[in-house]
Amino acid sequence: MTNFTTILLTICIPIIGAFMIYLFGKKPNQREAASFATAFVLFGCVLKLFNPGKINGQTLQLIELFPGVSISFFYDHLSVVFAFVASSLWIVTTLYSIGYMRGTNERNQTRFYMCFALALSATMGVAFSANLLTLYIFYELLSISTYALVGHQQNADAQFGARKYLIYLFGGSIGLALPAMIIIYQITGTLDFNYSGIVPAYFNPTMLLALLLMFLYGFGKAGLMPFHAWLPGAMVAPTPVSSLLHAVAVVKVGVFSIIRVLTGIYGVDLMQSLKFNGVVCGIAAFTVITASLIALYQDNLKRLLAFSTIGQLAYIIMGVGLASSLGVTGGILHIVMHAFGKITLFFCAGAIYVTTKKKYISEMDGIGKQMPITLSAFFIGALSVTGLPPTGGFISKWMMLQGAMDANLTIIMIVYLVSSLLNACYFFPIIYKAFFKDPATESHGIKEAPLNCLIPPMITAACSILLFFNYRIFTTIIHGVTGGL
Amino acid sequence: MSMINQLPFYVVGIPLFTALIIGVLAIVQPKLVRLTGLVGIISGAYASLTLFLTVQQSGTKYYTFGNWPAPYGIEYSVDTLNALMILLIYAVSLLAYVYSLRSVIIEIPSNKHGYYYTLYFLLITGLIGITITGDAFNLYVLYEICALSSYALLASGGKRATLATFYYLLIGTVGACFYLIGVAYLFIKTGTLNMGQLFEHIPSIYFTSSILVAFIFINVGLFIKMALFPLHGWLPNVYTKAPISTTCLLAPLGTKLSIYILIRFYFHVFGPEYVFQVLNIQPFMVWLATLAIIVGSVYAIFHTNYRSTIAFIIVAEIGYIIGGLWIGHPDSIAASIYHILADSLMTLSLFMIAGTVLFYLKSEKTSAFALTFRQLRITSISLVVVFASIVGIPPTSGFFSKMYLIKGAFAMGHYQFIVALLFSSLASLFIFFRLFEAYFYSKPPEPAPSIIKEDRLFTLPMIGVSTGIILLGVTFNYWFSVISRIIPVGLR
Repeated sequence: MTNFTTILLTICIPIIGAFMIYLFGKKPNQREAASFATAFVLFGCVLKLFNPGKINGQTLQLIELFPGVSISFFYDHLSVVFAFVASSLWIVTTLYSIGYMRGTNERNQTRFYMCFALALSATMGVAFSANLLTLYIFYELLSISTYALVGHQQNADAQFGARKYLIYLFGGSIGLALPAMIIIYQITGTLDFNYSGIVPAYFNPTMLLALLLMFLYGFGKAGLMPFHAWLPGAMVAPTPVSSLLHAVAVVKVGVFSIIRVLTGIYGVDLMQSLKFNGVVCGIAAFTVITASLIALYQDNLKRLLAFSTIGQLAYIIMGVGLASSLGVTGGILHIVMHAFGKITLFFCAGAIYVTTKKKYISEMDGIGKQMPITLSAFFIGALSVTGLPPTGGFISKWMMLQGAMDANLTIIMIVYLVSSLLNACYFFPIIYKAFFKDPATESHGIKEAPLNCLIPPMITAACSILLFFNYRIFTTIIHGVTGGL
Repeated sequence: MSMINQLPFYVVGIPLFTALIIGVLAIVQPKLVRLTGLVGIISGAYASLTLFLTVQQSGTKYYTFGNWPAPYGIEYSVDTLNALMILLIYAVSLLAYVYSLRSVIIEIPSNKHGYYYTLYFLLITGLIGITITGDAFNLYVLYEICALSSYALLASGGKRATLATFYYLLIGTVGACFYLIGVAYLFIKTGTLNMGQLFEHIPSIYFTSSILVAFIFINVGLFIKMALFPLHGWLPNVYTKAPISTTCLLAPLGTKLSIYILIRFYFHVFGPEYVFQVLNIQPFMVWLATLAIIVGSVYAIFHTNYRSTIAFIIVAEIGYIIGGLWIGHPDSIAASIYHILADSLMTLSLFMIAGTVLFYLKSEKTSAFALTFRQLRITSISLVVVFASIVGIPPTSGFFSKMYLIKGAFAMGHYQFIVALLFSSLASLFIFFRLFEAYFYSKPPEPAPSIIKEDRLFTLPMIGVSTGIILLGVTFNYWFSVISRIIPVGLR
C-alpha cells in the first residue's frame, strides 16, 4: 500500500464509517462499535504515515480544476502531526461520547455520530491538502458537517449558537479567505504550498499585507479577535463536540490553515523581510491577553474553557508568527500539547455536568470531594494549558519563549509570561474552590461520573504528563518542518 | 451527410411542426397530444446535440432557406455560440416538458391542454429561431413570436397572473419596440439587416451619433427584456403568479435569450472594438451590474415567499452575467457565458422545487419548508444541490463561474464587483439556512408526517437538472474550452 493510498484512506474511512453508523442506526451497540472500529482503523492509517523517514513531499494530483491548481494531496511533517492528534483523540472521544450521550439521554444520536465521522473526514482532508484550494474545500466541508452538531439540541439556544457559528465561519471564509485565495492565484498562477513561499517579493507590500489580514481573519476557525464570538456560542453543543471539535479538530484546522498560509504561501523569508511577522504577532498577542482577561470573568465553565481556547490558539499563531525555528517548533508542538490538555478539561466539565447537572463554577464549591478523580484530571489539564511542569504544555511554552528571544521580540516574551499568569488566575481558583471549600449542600460521598466519562479524561491527563517526558517523538517530526524552513 | 446539412433547419422545424400537429390533434385526438410533444422534444434535442458536436468538429454551419442567398433570402448561420445556446434551450425544454406533463394536469383545465402545448412549442420555436437567425429584423419577428406565446402561457394561471402578464405585456412591448427602433437606425445608416454585413459596415460609422442612438435603444430594449436592474420591475410580479409549468420553461430561458442577443450584438454586430474601446461606459456598466447584484440579493433576503425570493435571485444573477461581460476580461466573459448555462439550470431547478412544494404542501411560505425537508426527499436534495451552486460551493457549476468572474474582475480592478459577488453568495447562504432552520429547529408535528412519494414525472427532471448542475461543474474545463472559441479574437 503506497502512502497515497493511505492518505486517501484517511479521508474515505470516516465517510464509510458514517455510512455504517447510518446502517446500524437502530441498534445502538452495533452503531457505537462501528464508530470505534472507524476511529481505530483511521488511527492505524495515520500511524502508518507517522514516520519521518518516509516523508518525501511528493504530491498526488486527482483532478485539475484550473490551470495549475488541482485537487491534490501530500503529506509533510506538519500534516502528520496534526492528523495524529486529531485521529488519536477521536478514539478517546468516541468512548467519552458513548458515556455522555447515553448519560444525558440526547436524541438523534445516530445523526450525532455520523456528523462526527464526517467532520473527522474533513479534518483529515485539510491536514493532507497540498494546495490552498483543496484545503479551502475541506475547510468548508468541516463547517457544514459541524453545523448540525452545534445545533444538535434543536432548541432556541442551539439555533442562536449555530446561526452565529455559520455567520462567522462562512462570512469569514467566503467573504475574506476565498477572495484572498483567488487574488493570490491571479497574481501567482498557483496555489501549491511551498516552504519558500509562492508570493512574489516584488509585489505591492500593502496589497500583500491586506491579503494576509484577509487570510488571518478569513480562516475564522482560528478565533482571532474580533472574529472569535462563534466559539463561546458553539458551546451549546454537547460536550464531546466541544471537546474534540472545538478544542482540537475545528479550531486547529483554523490555526493549521493560517500556518499553511504563513509558511507555505508567503514563506518565512518574505514574512521576515516585509516585517509581517510583527503584524501577525501583534494581532495574536492582542487576542492572547484579551481572551485571558475575558476568561477571568466567566462563570459558565464551558465558556471559560472556550475563551481559554481562543487565547491558546493565538499562542500557536504567535509562535509560528515569530518565524524563528524554535518559535515555529514550539507553536506546532503546542497544537499537540494544548489538544491533550484542553480536551481533558472539557471531558471533566462534561463529566461534572453528567453527574451533577452543574454548569456554573459558582455552584462547584467542594465538588472535588465528590469527584476526586475527575477534578485531579482537571488539575493536570489546567497545569498543561497554563504551561507548568510536569506536563507537556511546559515544553511547548518554553520553546515559544525561546523563539521569542531568538527573534528579539521582548514584548512577545512578556505577553507569553503575563498570559501564563492570567491562565493560572482563571484556572486555579476553580481547583481551590473544588477541593478546599465546603459544598453548599450536604455532600453525598464519592460519586464519580459513569466509567465511559471517567476513563477518557484519565487517559488524556496521563498523556499530558507522558508528553512532558517524551515530547521528542513530536519534535523530531516537527524538526522536518523547521528544517525545511 | 445531407442530414447533417439540414440540421439548422431541423432544430427550428421540429418544434414548429410539433406545434402545428399538436394544434390539430387537440381537436381531433387529444389523447395523443402529450406523446407527440415528447417525441418532438426528444428528436429536437437529439438534433441539437448532433448540431453542437458537428459545429465543434467542423466549424460554423450555414443554411440558406430555399437556396436563396443572403441578403435576399434568410440565412441561418450556426457557430459555437448559438450551437451552445440551442443545446441549452433543448436541454432545459426537455426537462421542463417532462415536468409539465404532470404539473399541467394540476394547473390547466384538461380541455385546454392541446392549446397550451401548441403555444408551448411555438415558444420553443421562437427561442430557437432567435438564436439561429443571422438577420436583425427576422430576430425581432421571432422575438415577438416568443413574447406573444409567452404572454398567453403566463396568463393561463388565473386572474392575478393575467393582470401581472398584462403589465409585462406593456413593458415587454416597449422593450421590443426599442430594439426595433435601434435596428431601424442601423438599417437607415447601412442599408442592410444581415448581421454579418452590419458588422462589416459599422466600423466606418463608429463616430456618428446614429450608431450611438442605435446602440442605446437596442441595449435599453434588451435590458428591459432581461430584467436588468433598475428595469427589473416586471419580473418578480410575473414569475410569482404564472403557472409553474410555464415558468419552468420561461424563467430559465426568457431572460437568458435577451442576454444572448446582447452578446451577439456586442460581438458580431457592433463588434468588441466599438463596445469596449470606442464607447467609454465600461465602469458605469460594471457599477450597474454591481448594484443589480446587491439590490437583487437584498430584496431576496427581505422576501419570505419562496417564489418572490427566487425571482430576486434571478435579478441578481442577471447582474453576474452582465457584469462579467462588461468587465471585458477574457476570463470574466467566459465565466458570463458559462454562467448562462449554469444559471439556466439553477433557475429551472428552483422553479421545479417551487412546483412540488406548492403542489404537495399547498404553501410556499418559509414555514412550508419545515415539512419539505421532512416529507419530500427528492425535492430537498435538489434544493441542497441548487443552493450549493447558487452560493458557489465546489464542485457545483456556480463555483466555477464565480471563481472566474472574480479572477477577471480582479485583473481589471473592479473590486466593487468582487464585493458584490461575495455579498450575494452570503445572502443566498442566508436564504438557504432560513429554509433549513425552519425545518431543523421546528418541533416535528404530531402525528409524525409521512414521507410523500413525489410523482415520477416530477422526480425524473429534478434529478436530471441536479445532476446537470453538478456535471456542468465537474466538466467545466470542456465548457470553458468551447466558450473560449466564442470570445472574439480582439478580447482574448
